Amino acid sequence: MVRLGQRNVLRGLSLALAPGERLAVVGPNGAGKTTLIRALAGLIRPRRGHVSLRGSRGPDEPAARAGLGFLGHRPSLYPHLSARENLAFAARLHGTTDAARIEAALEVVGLAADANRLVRDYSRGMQQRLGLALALLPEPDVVLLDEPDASLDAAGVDDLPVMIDALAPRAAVLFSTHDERVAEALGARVVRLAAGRLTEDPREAPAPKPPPLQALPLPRPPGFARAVRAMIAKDARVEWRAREQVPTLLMFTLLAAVVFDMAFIAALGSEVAAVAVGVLWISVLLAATLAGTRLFTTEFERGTLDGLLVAPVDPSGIYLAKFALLAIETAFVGVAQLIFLSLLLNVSLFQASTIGAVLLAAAAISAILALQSSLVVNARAREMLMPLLAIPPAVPVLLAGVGITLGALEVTPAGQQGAWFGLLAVVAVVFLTLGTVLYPQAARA
Amino acid sequence: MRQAQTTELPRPRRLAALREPANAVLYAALLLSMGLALFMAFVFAPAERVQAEIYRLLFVHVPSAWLAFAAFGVVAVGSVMFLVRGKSRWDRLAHASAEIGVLFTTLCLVTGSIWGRSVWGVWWQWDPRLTTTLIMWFIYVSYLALRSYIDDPNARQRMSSVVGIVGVVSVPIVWFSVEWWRSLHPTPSVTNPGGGMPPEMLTTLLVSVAAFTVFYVVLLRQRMQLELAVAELGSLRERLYERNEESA
Amino acid sequence: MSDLLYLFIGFSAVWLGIFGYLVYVTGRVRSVRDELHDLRGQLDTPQAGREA
Repeated sequence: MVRLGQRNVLRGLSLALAPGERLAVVGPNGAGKTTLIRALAGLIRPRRGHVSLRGSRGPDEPAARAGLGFLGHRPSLYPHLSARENLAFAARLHGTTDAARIEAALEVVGLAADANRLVRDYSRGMQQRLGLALALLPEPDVVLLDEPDASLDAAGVDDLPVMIDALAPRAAVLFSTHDERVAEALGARVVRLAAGRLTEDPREAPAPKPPPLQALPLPRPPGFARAVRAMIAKDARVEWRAREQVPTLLMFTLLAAVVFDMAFIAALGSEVAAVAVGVLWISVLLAATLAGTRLFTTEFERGTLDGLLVAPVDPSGIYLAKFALLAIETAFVGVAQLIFLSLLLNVSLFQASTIGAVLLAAAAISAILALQSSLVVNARAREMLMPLLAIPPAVPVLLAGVGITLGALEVTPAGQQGAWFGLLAVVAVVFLTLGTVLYPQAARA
Repeated sequence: MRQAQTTELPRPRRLAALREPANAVLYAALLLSMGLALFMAFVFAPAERVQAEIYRLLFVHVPSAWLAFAAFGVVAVGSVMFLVRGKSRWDRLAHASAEIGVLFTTLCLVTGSIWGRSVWGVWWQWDPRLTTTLIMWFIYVSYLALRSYIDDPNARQRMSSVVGIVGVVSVPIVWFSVEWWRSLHPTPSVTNPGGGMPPEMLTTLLVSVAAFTVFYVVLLRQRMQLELAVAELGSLRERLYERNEESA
Repeated sequence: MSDLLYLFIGFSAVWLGIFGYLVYVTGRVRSVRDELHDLRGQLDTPQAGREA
């Protein structure tokens, strides 16, 4: 039984898929096809019942997802990466860097000529072809496709069986469609889904008795660290191309420095150091909150979060990659603000201890924000909610940051710096641990 | 229409809740202990040397703080159990306890502020205990806000459980803040041996804490019944909706 | 003298806060239960208003 919101979307449903078998789930809109496929891929936790892959473990275990190919309602594609880069990223998440396989996949889905174009310039049909290539790329033995024929032209629909035969010839394929001809073309057994319940097609032969469940060998899952590195590199490349965050945040901090400079410079005597410290830490915190809110929501809104969650990587890796990205961005912006303030307010903020404080504080704030950001993905008005959620736990970071910078400017005696650095390190370690343990709990609704 | 229905189907009576023996015992305990606590706070406990009468706020201020800590501890336990077991009951416990914890924290801050006005001459001092308590209050307010911002019940339960676990880190920080930083706020005189509190005051304080604990249990039970009723309402609406769909 | 006033305000705030909350929650429980009662009544009665 799968429950979405207040409604039970799927009830009393049992399906078995033999190796190499093809099964079409046919039903009208709202029958529960997408929910079924998402539950099979482990993206939704069923209230009751279970899913087992290859007769052993469920899709909530990273290793069991190693041979799983998945195409969701929306293909999991990054618009600022080219087709080849999208495939290369997916391959790295699956632990391979097989360039020949990527070229073969591009060839089979008919995108070889456009492989270096950015996906945002692709038509909807081309995106769907690339999504299919993505699902079939890791030589899966289980393939789940949610309406693979969606937005394909007639030629594309005709090509579907060819693509599957070429890239995953021995895989068990389960797909949903509302077009029976697609099921026929793929030579699939048909089951009907209506209002969350399954009915076998009476015209079909009765379902073959499922073979006794036996655990099949699993493909080797990729290394955790390699997958995390691949995610960080992907985000860095997307940011380099899209320039959505860092330049804007730099402008924001410069603006904060200029505004406070103008507002206070006439009135300030010896308090200039205190004002500079206040501006520094508030702007670092706000910049991190702005960027942090987008960490998971961009992935969620593009539909690419599903792609990450279906990959055979423990979800804590997603948290760590997002943490690292935000920490780098925040540190960059914070160090820039040290320079801006030193120049504009004529204080000597650019010192080893203040740079160290900014770097460590960026790590601590990012550990907090990356977790909070993952919690608000399906909240309403998340931009409003994020500061309320993120700022209270970040207070110790601000306290320590202010303590260190005031000491560095000799407003207060510099004796307590060690303790403040210790506090920053403790906050960073505590929240990194909490995030690593708790994010996988929050990742699947 | 509504009028006609009330005559046909007997509505639950106003004090029906009191007929359950467990509830009757609880409410009796509540009235007795609160009455006793009030009596002891004003009559039994002697006036204080320095602060004379105003110190009697202690008997509501300290129990509110302790019960707030306990309530947030229960939030963390409920959240962990929900993530482990996946049963909505635990999430209901966490949600109910968080709301009551916020109530007690608010009362603690309000009484503290009034006390501070009388003793220090200001409503608010930037003091570690006060500041950390206010931050703890913000954390649990954001827990409640997050819950109301997420519509999907599954996501709401999982996401808020994470906040419920993370938030409890603030409790020891508030507790130890008076020892870690120099503070205007008095250090605990109950847990310290020889803390200098006369026995009558200590007894009164403990009775007050007991009374507040009974109050917490009563509020928690009532709040959880509300959660349960709301959940049942949802599933009943769903059944009606499904029946209408089937007949359509 | 004003100490006693502060004392009074403090105790009233606490008692009003807690009892007010209890009354509020109890009222909510009652209204939700009333609604439940009505809905159960609707579910128990056979489908009304089907003419076609």
